[in-house]
Amino acid sequence: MTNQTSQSSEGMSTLRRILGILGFGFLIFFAIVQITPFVLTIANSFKCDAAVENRPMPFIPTFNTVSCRDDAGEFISADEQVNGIFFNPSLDGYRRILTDQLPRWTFNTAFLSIVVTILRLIFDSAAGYSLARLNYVGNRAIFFLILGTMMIPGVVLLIPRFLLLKEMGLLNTYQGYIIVLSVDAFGILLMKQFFESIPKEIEEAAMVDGASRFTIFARIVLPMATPALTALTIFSFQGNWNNFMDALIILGGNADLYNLPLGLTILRGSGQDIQYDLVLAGSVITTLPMAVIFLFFQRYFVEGVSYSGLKG
Amino acid sequence: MLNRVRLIVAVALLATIASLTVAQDDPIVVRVWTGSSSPVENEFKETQVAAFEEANPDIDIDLLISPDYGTQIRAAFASGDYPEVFTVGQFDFPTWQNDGLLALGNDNIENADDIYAGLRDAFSADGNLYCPAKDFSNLALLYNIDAFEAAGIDLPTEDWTWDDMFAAAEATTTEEMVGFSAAADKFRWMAFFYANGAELFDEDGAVAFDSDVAIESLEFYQSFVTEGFGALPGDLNAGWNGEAFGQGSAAMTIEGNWAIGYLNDTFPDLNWGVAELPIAPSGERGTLTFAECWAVSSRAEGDLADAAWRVANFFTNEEGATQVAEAGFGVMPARTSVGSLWLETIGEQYSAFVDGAEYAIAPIFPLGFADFDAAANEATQLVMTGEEDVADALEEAAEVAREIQEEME
Amino acid sequence: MAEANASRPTKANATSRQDQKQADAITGLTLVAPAVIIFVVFLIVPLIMALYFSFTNWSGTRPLDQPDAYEFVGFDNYERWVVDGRRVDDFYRAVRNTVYYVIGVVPIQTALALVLAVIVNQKWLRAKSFFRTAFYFPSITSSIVVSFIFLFMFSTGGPINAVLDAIVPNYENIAWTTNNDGIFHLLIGNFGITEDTVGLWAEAEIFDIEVWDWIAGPSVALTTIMALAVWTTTGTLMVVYLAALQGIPSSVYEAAEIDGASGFEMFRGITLPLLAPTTFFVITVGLIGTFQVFDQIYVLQNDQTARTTTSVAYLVYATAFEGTSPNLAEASAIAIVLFIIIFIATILQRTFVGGDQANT
Repeated sequence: MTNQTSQSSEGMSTLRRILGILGFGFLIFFAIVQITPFVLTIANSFKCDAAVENRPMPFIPTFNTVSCRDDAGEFISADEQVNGIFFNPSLDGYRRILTDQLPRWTFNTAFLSIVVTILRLIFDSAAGYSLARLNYVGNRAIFFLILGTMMIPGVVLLIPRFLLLKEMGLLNTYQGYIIVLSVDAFGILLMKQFFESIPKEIEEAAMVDGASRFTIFARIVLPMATPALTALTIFSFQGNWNNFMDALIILGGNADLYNLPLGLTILRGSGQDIQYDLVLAGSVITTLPMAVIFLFFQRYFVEGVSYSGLKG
Repeated sequence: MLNRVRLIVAVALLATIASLTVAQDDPIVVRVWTGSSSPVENEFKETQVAAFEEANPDIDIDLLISPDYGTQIRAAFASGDYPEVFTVGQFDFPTWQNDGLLALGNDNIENADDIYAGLRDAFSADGNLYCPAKDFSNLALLYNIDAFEAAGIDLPTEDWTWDDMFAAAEATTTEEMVGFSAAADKFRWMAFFYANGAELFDEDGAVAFDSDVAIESLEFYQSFVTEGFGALPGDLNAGWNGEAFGQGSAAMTIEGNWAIGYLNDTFPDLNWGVAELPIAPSGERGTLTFAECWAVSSRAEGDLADAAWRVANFFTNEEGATQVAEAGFGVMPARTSVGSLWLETIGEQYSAFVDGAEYAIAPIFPLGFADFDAAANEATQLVMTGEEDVADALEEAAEVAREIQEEME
Repeated sequence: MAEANASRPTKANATSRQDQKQADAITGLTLVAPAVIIFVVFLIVPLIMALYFSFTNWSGTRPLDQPDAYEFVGFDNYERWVVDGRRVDDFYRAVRNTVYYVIGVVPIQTALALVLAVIVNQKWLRAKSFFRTAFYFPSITSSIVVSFIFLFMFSTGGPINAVLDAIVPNYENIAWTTNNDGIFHLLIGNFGITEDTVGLWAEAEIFDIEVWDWIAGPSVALTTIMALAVWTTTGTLMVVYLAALQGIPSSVYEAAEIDGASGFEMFRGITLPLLAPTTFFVITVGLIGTFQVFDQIYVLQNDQTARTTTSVAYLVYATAFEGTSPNLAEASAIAIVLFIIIFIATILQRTFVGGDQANT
């Protein structure tokens, strides 16, 4: 799969080309497998409940839109929407999601995700650098403390944390959510492990030039950590965009502060009567922004930002 | 620009004065919490609240429909600062009552006698009624009319017995369809359990979970699967009974009235009916009921408590129940006086759900018997997956209950 | 970056080294302080509260401002679930399921993530953004959709069985989502080894569970859930590897290429060793994460498979919030035990798998 050499014999290069094409074909196949569920999600979000249950699953929409209820208010059957692999899309799911509160939920989600992500970029990388590079008493203890926080099932911390936030007056406030989530153990460890992979010589050289540790961190090491910061941005954004439990505990008492996961859960309701169009439309509008964010940020995974001049 | 600023200042001033004047007789604020149910039902709750506020200008309702009610209300309970009015599921009732969270209902509840007896029992402790039931669901037998006709057999009748049901399952079983979808859930087969005269505890308080009649009921439920005329929903590629039934993989199943909306929306072409569960060898019928009530906080006092009871009653009295009935979603109103009204709204063909209320039992395991509850689940799973036989499984679960009883003494 | 290139030797004297050390300590503590404060207040304090409650009989609902909110019960909750109480079989069955889950998922997701990352990092690869996004997609697919897909793909008449039917001769449809048979049992069953033939030792019980059941291997249903978990988490770990790959100077590859190394040789000789710290990190967080598996189980299990799929974290949840008498104190006790298990597993992993990377 790593197809990099140039001067080989004629036969070798033909073989390589064939292997390359086969490999590429496999990659495309695999990519399709990975995306198919989402494509089916989009397709099904335009179907009424009956058509969702229809097998085989039609996935190509036509231009004729339909409504899920007929004039008498009864739900239409699958046959009225499905024709082989084609189906007549219905916008009912999206229409029902577009409530007056949707903009508010979206704003809350975006606002909280962005603020928390920015804070994590700062605090996680600072803590990660400190743990990776700076020697002081308690460095290892702090490392294990942070690692340890990942090891406890969050379910049992919900109510203690709720009580704590209540005492502190942080319940049902943006601040409460932001403060609690402004650092995360995974992010710190991610940054720490990345900083450790950067050759020490670079910092030593700067130190000789009289730069302080903080300057080295902010001016030299952090820019070199772009790939890790990119990964952190993606994870943090995704985690907060989908955060249900923390939002419930911290913001649950004030419906004005709800984010998309909370809001969509209310909209969807509970019980056995799953309204597929609504649920799937909900997951489409929550998944798409994340896909866009990923597509945007993954450009920063480019080789050679760093120390290529240095001998490893 | 300046004009606009002046205008804003003036409006702000006026608003402040206005709010101060109103503050003279502040309306009482009652916090009302409940979980999110179906979208139509959520909307209904909001309408109810608006109607109450209009009729009672001295009370403001602060309504919270929670995305995860169980977690959120528990956190609030723990902190001691919880809403004045909230919903209580029947399975939570024993614990919450025991924890002292609920105000005593009795005389505070309007015309309690009109509430179905089974639902009064579900929300009573030591002979005291704590909260008025909001609505409820019963199990009944769902059957696929087309499948019955294709098999050339009669639809379920009034005097159907267990044997008739079994024969129908046998007759309707084909290549594509089994006769009966049987979930490995104790709250399905225990409808047969109660019908057959079995009980968790007998009259003397002794554990009776492994009595002969109990064994007979689970053996009957299991026999559909072992004889090949029934299957578990998972084995029919369905998440639950309703889905298996809707997809046409099973000619019959046992589900509650919550399935009505699901089946009609998702499987509009399905030709189905409902009957009461068949008569057990004991000669009796039985079914299980699942209910919620509107409770008032034990911490509300004085005017606030009065206001809270007004809210709870508004939701649950004859008028409240009438509104539930007329809204016509899956759950049934909890009062005997409006059962027929619900049927008028939703359709007479669903009368079996209402009829079951006469003899329905809320299958609640008493406080302190959590392990028994878990053991009963395990017994059900072991039996339905064919890993253990009925008598052994039930005896094991009953032993757990006996052990708990010994420890309690 | 200019500073980095100047690497001239100097003679640092003892005092400045001392100063440097002190300055480092101050900077280090300052940088880590915000994180530590937040962790202590919002994680460690609740953790200590949970530990405290685990020695009480607090239901979790009785208001704490009531004088009779709870009583101390010592180690009762632990004894009940972990030592010899009525629920030990439930607990250890969950432990068994969880351990199988961890052993199955961690190596596969790590290896797959590495391979995918290396592939989408290739210079020659066209449409890189497309592939990266495609491979990441399962990570952002919502759990409801995942369960929907799961039931569809793995249904008895579904695509997975259809494909297998086409490839495997005499294939009999597998009930992927409901089969409780352990895959190890099935494997040795092919050689005629069953509980009846192996001897009496198999019937011995450890914590109320027969040895034979301990060694069942993950059930078919659990294996299916594991496959799905790998599918959804690999994308995330791929991104971690992708970030790390940017740190490998291309000059290293160029040098190796001149020496005539093949692609695979370079992968084994350069990429893999240089990624060792990342691999170590991915395994550590993978281990900690999978030991706490909850979401996947919650969404994908059904009544039929509860016994062979329930994880410890799921048991914690169910004990705290479900059933007849939810009990937060007992749930906390189970959670603390899980914490200890994970802690030990992490130490073991750091010692035996980590090797010289034990600092990471």
